[in-house]
Amino acid sequence: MLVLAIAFWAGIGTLRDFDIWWHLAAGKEIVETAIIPRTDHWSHTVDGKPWFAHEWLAEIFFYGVWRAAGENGLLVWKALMGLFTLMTLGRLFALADPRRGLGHIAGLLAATVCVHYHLLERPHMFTNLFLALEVLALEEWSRGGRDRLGWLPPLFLLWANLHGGVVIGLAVLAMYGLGIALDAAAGREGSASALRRLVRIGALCLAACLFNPRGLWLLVYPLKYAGHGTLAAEITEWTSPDFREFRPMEGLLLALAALALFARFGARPSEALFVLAGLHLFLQSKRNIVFVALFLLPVAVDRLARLSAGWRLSGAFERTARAGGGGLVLAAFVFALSCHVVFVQQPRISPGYFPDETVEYLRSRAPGEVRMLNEFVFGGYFIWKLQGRHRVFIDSRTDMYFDENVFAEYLAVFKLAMGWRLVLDKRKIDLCVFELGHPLSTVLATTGQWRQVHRDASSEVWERLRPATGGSS
Amino acid sequence: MSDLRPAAEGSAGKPAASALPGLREVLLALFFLGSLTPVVDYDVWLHLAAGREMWSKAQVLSVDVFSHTVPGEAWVYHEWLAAVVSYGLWLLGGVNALVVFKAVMMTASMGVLLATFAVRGHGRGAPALVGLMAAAVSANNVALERPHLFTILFLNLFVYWLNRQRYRGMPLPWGMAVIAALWANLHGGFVLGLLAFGPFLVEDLWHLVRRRGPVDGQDEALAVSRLRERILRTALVLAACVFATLANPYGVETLLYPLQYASPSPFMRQIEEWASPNFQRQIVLEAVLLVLVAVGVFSKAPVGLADGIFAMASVHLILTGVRNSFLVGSFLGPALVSHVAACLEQPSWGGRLRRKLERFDSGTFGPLLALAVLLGGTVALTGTPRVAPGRFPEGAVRFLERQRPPGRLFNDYDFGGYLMFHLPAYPVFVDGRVDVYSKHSAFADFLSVWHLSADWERVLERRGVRIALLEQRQSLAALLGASPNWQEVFRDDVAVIFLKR
Repeated sequence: MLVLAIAFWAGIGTLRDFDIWWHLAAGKEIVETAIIPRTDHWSHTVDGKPWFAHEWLAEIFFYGVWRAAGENGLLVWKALMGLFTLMTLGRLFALADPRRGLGHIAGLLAATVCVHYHLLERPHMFTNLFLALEVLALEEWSRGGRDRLGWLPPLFLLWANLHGGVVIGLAVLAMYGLGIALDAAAGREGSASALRRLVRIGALCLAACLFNPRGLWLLVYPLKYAGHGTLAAEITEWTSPDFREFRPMEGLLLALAALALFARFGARPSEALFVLAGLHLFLQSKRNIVFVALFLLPVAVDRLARLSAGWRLSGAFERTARAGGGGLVLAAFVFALSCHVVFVQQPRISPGYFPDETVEYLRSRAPGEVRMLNEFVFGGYFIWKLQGRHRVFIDSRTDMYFDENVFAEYLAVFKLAMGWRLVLDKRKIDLCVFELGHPLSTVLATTGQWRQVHRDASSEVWERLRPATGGSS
Repeated sequence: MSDLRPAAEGSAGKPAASALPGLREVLLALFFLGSLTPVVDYDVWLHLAAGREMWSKAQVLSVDVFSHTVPGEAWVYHEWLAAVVSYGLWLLGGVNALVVFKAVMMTASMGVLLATFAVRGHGRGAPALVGLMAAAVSANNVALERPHLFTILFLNLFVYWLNRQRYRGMPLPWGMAVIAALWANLHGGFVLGLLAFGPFLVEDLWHLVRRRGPVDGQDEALAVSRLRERILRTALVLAACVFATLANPYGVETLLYPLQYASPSPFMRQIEEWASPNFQRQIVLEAVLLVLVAVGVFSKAPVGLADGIFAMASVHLILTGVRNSFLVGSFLGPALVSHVAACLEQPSWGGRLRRKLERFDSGTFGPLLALAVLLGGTVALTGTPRVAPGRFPEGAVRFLERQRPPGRLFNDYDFGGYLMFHLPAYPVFVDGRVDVYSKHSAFADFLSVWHLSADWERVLERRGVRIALLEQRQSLAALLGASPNWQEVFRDDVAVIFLKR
């Protein structure tokens, strides 16, 4: 309970994510128009092109929370989602270590590192929690415990309207099926009936997923971008983890490796499948760190619990876990802290983190007066704050921009690749907004055709000295 | 005492020799042929330039003579002997000789690794093949014509001798000290060789501590006595190796030099080969690591302390530096084969697979491999120069040689070594010797220009730069192209040259 309380407290943090803003804008629009947007009208580059707010329910929810409790409400929601995910993982680990000894507490600490790494005010928090719930239900059932698989189809119905990660949920079901088949091949009994049951539940979950405003498209759409090299290489959170910067995670992987080496209990094929899948997903993209918690840690907890059985330290944890009343204390703490954050504290936004002064500058320009090229991360913030006064070049709805080649044009300018000036001319850009100190600043100054018209602690704005003529320069 | 004791060759004794070449030899031959790849590495030229300098002046370099930013700066060129060897090879057969040398060294390293597998009782069959393939594909990352080739071979040799002592009871040869002396003059990776003693020493000491107290019986007393002897021998050979590494032109500085890589500096973070592996691109390396994990989680066999330490150290080194991926073979390989063998003993199909592969992998060593080396080597040596097309600024160098514009040069970091060798008339701004440049403001100045900081023009002015030779897609090329003060005078698919107006 102490770990969970600290995790909740640390999980609140400050608002640091740029994507939340366009989700809020989408939520506001859906609430006000009672229509889910199907085309873009926030950008001048893909204006009128198809864009479907497939996370529409999450966006309505975010907007509701923001209306009710402001930015701090979103932070508390995020911390609560992290807490619920950790609590679910705690239940999952308890299946492997029922006495809740050293294995359980070590697993919970490691899970905290994993869950907190990508703890943001975004719809994927639903996926993290729902994945944990799904794996818990599957593990309880596969270990002969309570059968809560019947809850999965309604969970998938909700999930499909909250976040595209529902596809991963289906993949997990498929992996469990494969795991059962592998265990059956290795001689485990009762696998055939289990597999039949899982196939039936899987079919229901799949059907439930189709109950969303875009139907089958929702399931196909994430696959289209899953293996795309450019997106994976250019968007920081999708990149492979850099272990020189990511020391706690390297420590965790080394600890898991040591456990795998020294615990010597062997593994069932299904366990190995999950371990390898979790590791693969994480090595491919650091935002997949939650799969380490979901797929690797339960096996590790099991091994550590067996290894540490009889250790004095493990016994101490077991005795602590048996002490009652912790749940009530935790609930009281969470409630009190949430109330304090929402009702007493000022909005927890790091000063200078978001380009507020630049927004003020842009507001000072007449609506539609300028065509802006903005830094990718600023897009969502401008959409929310400028409310259509100036439309953006790009924001983090990457899939849409990628299809229309806008992402490539953006990269050409911001990486100063060949043809960067042609992009500015072709798009008739007369205002460039980017993070303070970006190399583009030096280049624009050198050309003699641009002048800096605004600069603050986070960003700078450059304006073209003469109007763009269109075509090539 | 031994956790995974050496097994007999094959479960049913040594398999009968077959007329077929062993799979190991086929793999080694393929590996040799696959290693005859063209030169792609930029630093190769740096070493050739240094080798030429030492060859012509008959003295070891101790200061920089190639740059205009740090001329005369102290330079601990711990790889001086490798540079001399490289240049000698280049004189003999051009870049193709370097390519063949690379393939021979890499193949020899894999051969030594196989010998290590053999001393652990798994020299043939499925475990050896899995170990060899994992080592080969991981080492492919660093199959470059550079001094670290010596480290890969010598490290595998050290690991072989240490395993041979551990599993076959043969004492460590004193010749290791000679190799250590040579190694310290060839590449900074000799430190890995010294570190390789550590896990074995720790394991033996651990066993000795556990056996402290009254000894039961003659056998036990003999075992403890042998353990003590082994520890003493290991410690003495290690001491001799450490002492031998001091036999180099820079003395103790050579020993201290590799330590700077223990905690990466901000400058090192700029260098791709020191980066953490990008598993989106390093798919093969990831697959190998996943195989290792799979073996780890499946195997019920106990893991020796030495193998455990090697495994943890390698995982750490590989995750934090893609250039360390060859450690999959050197440090992880020997333990891997033992555990693959253990895994294959568990299911019934495992035993069948192992026996089949052993039958197929029972040919006599050599003829095919020798033929591959002979034919491949000859073809590679006599063919056109094996240099990767579109990689090096050949056209730009020809242009500068022809035009001879006045002024100092600002060059792309990657091109530095190539220019040192092919364009000695123009000292470079920077090259792959980050350790030399980062001691002073030269590297900071380079980064300042490279990252297009606001004072880029002042830096170039202060350094007297009037020529810029860049990779044609670099941001800096866009900046100079946009500047009225610079004029583009040359461009091809590789490089672009700007002159100050």
